[in-house]
Amino acid sequence: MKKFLSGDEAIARGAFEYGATFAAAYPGTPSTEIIENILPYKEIYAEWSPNEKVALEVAIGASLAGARSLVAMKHVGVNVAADPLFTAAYTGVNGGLVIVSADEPSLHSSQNEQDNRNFAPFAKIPMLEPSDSQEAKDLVGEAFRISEEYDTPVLLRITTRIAHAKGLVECYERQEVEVKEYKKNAAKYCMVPANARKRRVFVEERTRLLSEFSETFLYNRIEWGDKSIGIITSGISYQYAREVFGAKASYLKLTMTWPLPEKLMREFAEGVEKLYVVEELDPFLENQVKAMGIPVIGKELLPNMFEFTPELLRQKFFGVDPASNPVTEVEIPPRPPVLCAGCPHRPVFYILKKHRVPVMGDIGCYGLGLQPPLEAVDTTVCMGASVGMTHGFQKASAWNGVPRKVVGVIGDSTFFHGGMTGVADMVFNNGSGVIVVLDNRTTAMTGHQPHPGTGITGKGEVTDEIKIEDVVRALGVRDVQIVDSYDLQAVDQAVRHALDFDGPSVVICRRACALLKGLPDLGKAVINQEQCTRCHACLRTGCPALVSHPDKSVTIDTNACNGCFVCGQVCPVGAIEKVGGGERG
Amino acid sequence: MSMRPVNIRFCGFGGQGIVLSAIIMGTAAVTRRNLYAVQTQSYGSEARGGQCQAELIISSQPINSPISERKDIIVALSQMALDRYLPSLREGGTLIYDTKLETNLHATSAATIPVPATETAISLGNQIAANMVVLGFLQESTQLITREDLVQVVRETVPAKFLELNLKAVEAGRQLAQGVKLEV
Repeated sequence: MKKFLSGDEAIARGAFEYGATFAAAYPGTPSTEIIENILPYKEIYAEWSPNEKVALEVAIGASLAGARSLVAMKHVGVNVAADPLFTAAYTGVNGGLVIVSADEPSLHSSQNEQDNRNFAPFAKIPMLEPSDSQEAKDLVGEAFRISEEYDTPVLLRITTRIAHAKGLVECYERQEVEVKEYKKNAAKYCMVPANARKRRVFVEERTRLLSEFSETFLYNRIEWGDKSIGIITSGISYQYAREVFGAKASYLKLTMTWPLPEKLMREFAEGVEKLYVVEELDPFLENQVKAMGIPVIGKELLPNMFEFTPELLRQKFFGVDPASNPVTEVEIPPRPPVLCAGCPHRPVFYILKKHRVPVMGDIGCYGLGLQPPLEAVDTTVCMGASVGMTHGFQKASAWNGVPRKVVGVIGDSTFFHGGMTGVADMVFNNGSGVIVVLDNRTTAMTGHQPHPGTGITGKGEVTDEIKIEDVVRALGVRDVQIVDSYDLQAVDQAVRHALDFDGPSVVICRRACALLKGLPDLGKAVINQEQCTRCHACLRTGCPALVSHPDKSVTIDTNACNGCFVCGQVCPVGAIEKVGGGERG
Repeated sequence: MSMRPVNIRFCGFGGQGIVLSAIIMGTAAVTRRNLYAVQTQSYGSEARGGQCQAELIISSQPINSPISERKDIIVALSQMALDRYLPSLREGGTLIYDTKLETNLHATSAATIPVPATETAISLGNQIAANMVVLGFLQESTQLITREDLVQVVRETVPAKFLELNLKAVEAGRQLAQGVKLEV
């Protein structure tokens, strides 16, 4: 049966076809759709975990229980999960364990760009890299097989263009794989020094055996063409190289990119006149080729950052300028992304800007709070960093004689992911930071996945809702306020109180993401043009539903307006009216 | 059936069903025509109402890169998208644009075909079906897939409550393409 699937969808299909019974993840672009597409399979238990470290740990537990288990995360998620990863490399597996790392060259939706292929040699685990959706599915099966045969977690590494591009995938029925029996084995699973030293030796022997396997692995293959140029490549770069060179080059397509098939690589290098490595990001393959003493051209020609395209390869190899278009040339202004109309983060940033305090940001839609006109966010580092950074900023300032208040903003899902321990630190160490939790009742940025505070699981089951106010109180925060994000005055008062409070303080600004389904109709805001003085106070909210005209008048696009009425609250002359909708829920 | 790869770009605002259009056409080609197809898109933190584009390549042979530099056909459902993506049209290519646009065609030398997609969808009851009008138009004018292929995939893809509207829109798009033949 043929299907038209993205790499993410194909990996989900692979988990189904190759007998997985367990999957876990924390959402993150471009990996999110893997678990989203596994969740509907009734044959597979799947969950959204609070973060990637927990997701990997539950998958390790599932593997120990004998289940074929898959865990998926974006590239930075592997940083979070690195601790269990590096020791699971020692314990090995019972049921097959596949870790999908979805890397994001060009940082379409990420805070950094990193090449997670480096994790394979670092953690000493094998790695597979598909070049299209078909391979993405097939390699899930190969990865489970390798995992169980060689007693190792397997890294399945994809990039955005693999994760999100669709292609033809030949699909089959599910193969049921028997859940393996669990046998207690402390020498293998209990990594205390005495046991770990023995497993350390095992890991090296395993890598040696996997190197031999890599030589004959069918997905590592030489494709002979013109031998004047030889290209070693993997992943999406293989497709770009083939597109550009066709039969005018020979290719070593590497799919198992750790450990590498050294003999095969030498055979290929000897068979061609000039050898290149075409790979996005780090000189990962190139350095290995060079370490083998083989002359090769890689990053001296091709960039070590951002996505490749066929056009870029043509430009670098043949000096062809990206052809100016013969048909039309058009200049267009850039249009940066903004918070949506009705976004509950907007009023909070509007107030925070007024208070002129340093604001430590976090990862989520609210990263957009840095854009004009709100410009409320000072920094964004990683999931949960806002809390620790708020504490550190406040402490260092006070210690060095510049006492000041500092605010951290963090989303609800991000709070459960990485914010809770930071709050514990602030309470423990007598901090005095203000944490504003932007509780929009969902994981908005990645497309509305449930989290521990939503009261519903990924599979759609009802569960206990963990309340953020209960958590921070339990962690020892005495000053906890809860306000409606849409109520500007209430947010202002709460922030003012928190800034004056001596000690750690938490303000929970609660209002569902305006794009969530099933919300009550709040009506629309409409500007009474006769009353409007054209002062443009409303435009300082940065709402995209507000349209400024050349004659200085402002109107509201009723198709875009979600009825939050924040503009109406900032209008000094009351010229904005609410039309339709029920009571504000 | 042997054919050279056809590169199509759908572009417009997020929410206009741009990506879905490419997926439906690609799914029909792959699952019902025994053709190869690849589809990719630009995205990022682009909110609803932001810019959106999807690329589709259909071929009788396996396809390597999902990204191509020059498009044979560009379908533009917003002026902003037309402005941005028109330069990627190859010489001799075709621009299909919605007549609802402000319609600055930038004096392009390419073949241009106006299609009243949004207008037609509104007359059928909802402008969200404009993409289906375009799909019907593309199906009929390119014959890359058959009417039955398209209808079947639309049936499998769109929510039941919009099915009738979408099927009507596909038919309307096909009617608009009567007598139009795009060489592919």
